[in-house]
Amino acid sequence: MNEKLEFVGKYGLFSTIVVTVIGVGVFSYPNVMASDVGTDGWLVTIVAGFICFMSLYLMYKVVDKNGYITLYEIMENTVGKLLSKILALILAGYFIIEVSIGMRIFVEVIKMYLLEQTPTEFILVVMIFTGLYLVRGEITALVKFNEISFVIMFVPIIIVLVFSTRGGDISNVLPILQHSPKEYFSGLIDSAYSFAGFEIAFLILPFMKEKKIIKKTIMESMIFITIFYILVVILCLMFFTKDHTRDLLWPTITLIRAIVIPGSFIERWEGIVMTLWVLFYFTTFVNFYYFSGELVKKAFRLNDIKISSLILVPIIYLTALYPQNIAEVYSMSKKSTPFFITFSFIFIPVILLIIKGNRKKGEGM
Amino acid sequence: MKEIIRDLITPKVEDNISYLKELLNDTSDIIFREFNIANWKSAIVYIDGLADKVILDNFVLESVMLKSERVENVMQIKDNLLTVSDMREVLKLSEGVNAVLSGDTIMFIEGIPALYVIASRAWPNRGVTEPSGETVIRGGRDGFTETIRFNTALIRRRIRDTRLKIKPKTVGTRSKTDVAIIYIEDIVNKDVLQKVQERIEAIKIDAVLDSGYIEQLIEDEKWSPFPQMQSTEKPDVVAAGLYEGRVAIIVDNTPFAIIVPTTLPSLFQTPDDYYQRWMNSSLLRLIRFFAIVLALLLPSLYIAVTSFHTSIIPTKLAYSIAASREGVPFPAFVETIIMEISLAFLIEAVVRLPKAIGSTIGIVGGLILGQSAVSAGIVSPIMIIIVSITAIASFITPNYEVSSAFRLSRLFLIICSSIIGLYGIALGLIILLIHLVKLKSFGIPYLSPFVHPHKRDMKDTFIRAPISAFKTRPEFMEPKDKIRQD
Repeated sequence: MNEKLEFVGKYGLFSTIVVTVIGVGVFSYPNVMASDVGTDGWLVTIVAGFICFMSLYLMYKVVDKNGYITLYEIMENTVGKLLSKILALILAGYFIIEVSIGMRIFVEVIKMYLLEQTPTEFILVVMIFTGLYLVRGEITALVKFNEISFVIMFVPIIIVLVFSTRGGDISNVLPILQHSPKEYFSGLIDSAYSFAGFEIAFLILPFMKEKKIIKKTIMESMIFITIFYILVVILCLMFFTKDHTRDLLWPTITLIRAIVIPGSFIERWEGIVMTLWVLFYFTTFVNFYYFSGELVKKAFRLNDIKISSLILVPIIYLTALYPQNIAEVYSMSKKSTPFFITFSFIFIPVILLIIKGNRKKGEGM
Repeated sequence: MKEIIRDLITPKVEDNISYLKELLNDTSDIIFREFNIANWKSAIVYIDGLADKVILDNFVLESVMLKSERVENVMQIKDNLLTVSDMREVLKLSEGVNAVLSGDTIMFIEGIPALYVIASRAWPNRGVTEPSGETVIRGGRDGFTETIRFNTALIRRRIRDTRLKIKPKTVGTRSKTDVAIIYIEDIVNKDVLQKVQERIEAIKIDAVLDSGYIEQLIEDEKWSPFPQMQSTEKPDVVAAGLYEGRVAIIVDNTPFAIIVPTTLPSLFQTPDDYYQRWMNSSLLRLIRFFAIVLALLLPSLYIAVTSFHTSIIPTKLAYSIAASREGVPFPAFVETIIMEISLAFLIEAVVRLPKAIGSTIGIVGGLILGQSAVSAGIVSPIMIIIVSITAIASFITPNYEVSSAFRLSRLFLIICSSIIGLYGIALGLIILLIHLVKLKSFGIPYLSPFVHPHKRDMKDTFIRAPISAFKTRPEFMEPKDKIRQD
C-alpha cells in the first residue's frame, strides 16, 4: 500500500457512515413507520437516531480504549482466540444476511420499475461482481468511493425532494402522540433497524488521521441520517396521509413518481431516480461486503481480502435467492431484526467495554 | 546488448586515435583531424553535421595552430590557447566517445592522459513555434522544440529561482537519450520525486524515441485507458505545474514534456483558464464538465430509452423518436455502433491526411454520407444528431488522451446499456468510478481533490476562483512550501 496507514479524514468517516446506513430501507421506511405509529414516525425517528448515536458512541469508546486497532484484534484481546473467531463469523453472517435481504429487495424494485423481463439471477450477479471489483481495491479505494458517491447521491436527491414539497398538505402530519407505549416500542425497534450499518465505524475508525474530531463527526453523520429519514417520512405523510402510506409497499418511490417539475424534459421520474438508487444500494452493499470480507479474512487467517471476498460471492448469491417472493423477504427480515439489533448494537460493544474495563482495573491493582 | 568501450586514455595520441578508428569504422560522418601544436601531436574527433565547424575552425584549430608560441608546456594549452567557454577535462575514453556521439568534439594532446570535451553541439533544428495541439486564445505562444537544451531554457525563463533543479539522466542503452527531471526543490513533493527517479533509473530499454516511451514505462497502472501523466508542448503549462509542486520530465528529440503526478480534474484545465478573468473561466470549466458527461452518456442513454424504457420520456418525444426510427432496419444498438465507427473513421482520416485534403473528408464524410445515410433509411436523423453532439462535446476536452479514454468508456457504456438498459448504465458508471478511484499517479489519488478533499483545494475544480483566492498550493499534492501568496 502506497498511502499512509492512517488516511481517513473527517469527510471520509462522515460519508462512509451516511452512505452505508442509507440504502434500500428508505423505500419502505415511511410505510413501516406509518404501520407502527401512524403520524408519529418522525418523532420515533428522532429517538431512534439518538439511541443509535449512543450505540455508535459506545463503539467509538471501545475502539478508543483499545488504541485504534481493528475489531477483530479487539475481540482477540478481550475474549480470546476461539471465541473471537466465532463472534467474527456470526457478525460476518449477520452482515451477509443483511446485504442479501437488501439486495433481494433492491432487485425486486429494479424488476418492478426498470427491467420487467430480465431474470433476477442476472441482476444479482452483475451487482455482486461489481462489488467484488471494488472490494479488491482494498480499504483506500472503498473510502474514496464513498466520498465521491456521497456527493453524487445526495445532491440530486435533495433537489428532487425539494420539488416534491409542492402540493403536499402539512396538516396530514398531525396529530401526534396518539399511540400506546407498546406501539412506540415496536416502532422504535423497526426505526433503529433502518439505522443498521453504522457498525461500519469499526472498520473505518482504526484508519482515522485525527482522533479528536471523531466524536463530532459521528454525531454529525447520525444527525444527517435522522434528518433525511424525517424528511422522507414527513413528505410521504404530507402527500398520502398515514392511511394511504400504510398501503403502499414503497411509498418513497411512489412519492417520487408523483413529482412534476414544470417545464422539465422527463415525464416519469422513477426511472431516473431508480438509476440513482442503484448507487444508494450499492454503497450499502459494498461497505457491508467489505466488512464481512475483512472479518472472514481475519477469522480464517487468509492473507488477502481478495480471497475472502471471492468466497463470499456464492453465499450472498444463494442467500439473496432464498426467499420465494418479496413478502417472504420482508418477513425474513422482520424475524431476524430483534436478534441482530441486540447482538450488534448492544451486546458486542457492551461486552467488549466491560471486559476491557475489568482488565484495566485488574492491572491497576 | 551492452557495448564495452575502453576507459583507458594513453598519453600517446596515436594509440587513442587508432583505437577510436577501429571502434568507429565504416561510418562516414566521423571526422578525425590530426595536427601539431608546436611540437605536440594532437587530434580532434567529432561528428560531421552535429558539431559546429565554425567554432572548431575559428576558436580551436586557428588558435592552437597559429598561436602555439604562447605556451611552453603542454598543460598550458587548455588555459592559454583554447578560446572556447564550454569545455571540460575527461579521464575516461568511454565518456569521451559518448560526448562525440552527442555532438561534442573531443581533443587529444600528446603527453596528457586525458581528453578535452569541447561543447560544439549544433545541428539543424526547428525554431520555437506555436504548438499545434494546444492552441490558446490568451497566453504565451512559444512551444517546446526537439532540442532538450532549448526546452530547459524556455522553462528557466519562467522560473528564475535558484531552487529550480534540472537533473540530467541518460535513458536507453543504445539511443542514450538525454532526459531531464525538473522540479523546484523546496516545493516539490519528495515522495513523488523519489518515485520518478527510481522508475526512470529502472528503465532498461534500448531506445527512447519520444517521451511517450518514458510515460508508458513509468506509469502506475498499464491496464487503464486513462493517461496518468499530462503531456504538454507548452512551457507555461510546465512552469505552472512546477509551481504547484509537480515534477516535469523532458526528453530529447521530442517537444512533449511530461508532468507528474496528474489528476483527472487537472486534465480538464487549460492555461487560458488562469489568464482570463475568473468568471469566464469558471463558466468554461462548467461547460467542459457538462460536455464530458454528455459525451459519455448520450449514446447509451439513447439506447436505453429507445430499447428499454420508452415510458420515461414525454409521450410526444417518444412518438417523434419512434417516427424518425420508422423504416430503420437495425436495433438502436447496431445503429449506434455503426455511427460510432464511422465517426472514428472520419476522425482518424482527418488526423492522418494533409490539411488540404482533410477538409474534403469532412465534407464528404460528414455532410454527404450523413445526409445519404438518413435518406437511405440506414440510420435515423435523431441518431445523427446524437452522434454529432457527442463528437463535438468530446472535442471540447482540452486533452486529447483523456478524450480518447472517455471514448473507450463511452463504448463500454453503450454495451452495458444495450444489455440491461438504465441499470446497465448505472452499473457501468459505478465500474468506471471504481476504476478511477483505484487509479493513482505516483501515489497521488487520480480523482484528487475530490477524494480526501481539502476545503481550500475546491477553488480550482469546477470553478476557477479569483487569482487572489489562490493563497495556497494544491494541498493534495502535499507540497513542501504550501504558501503562494501572503
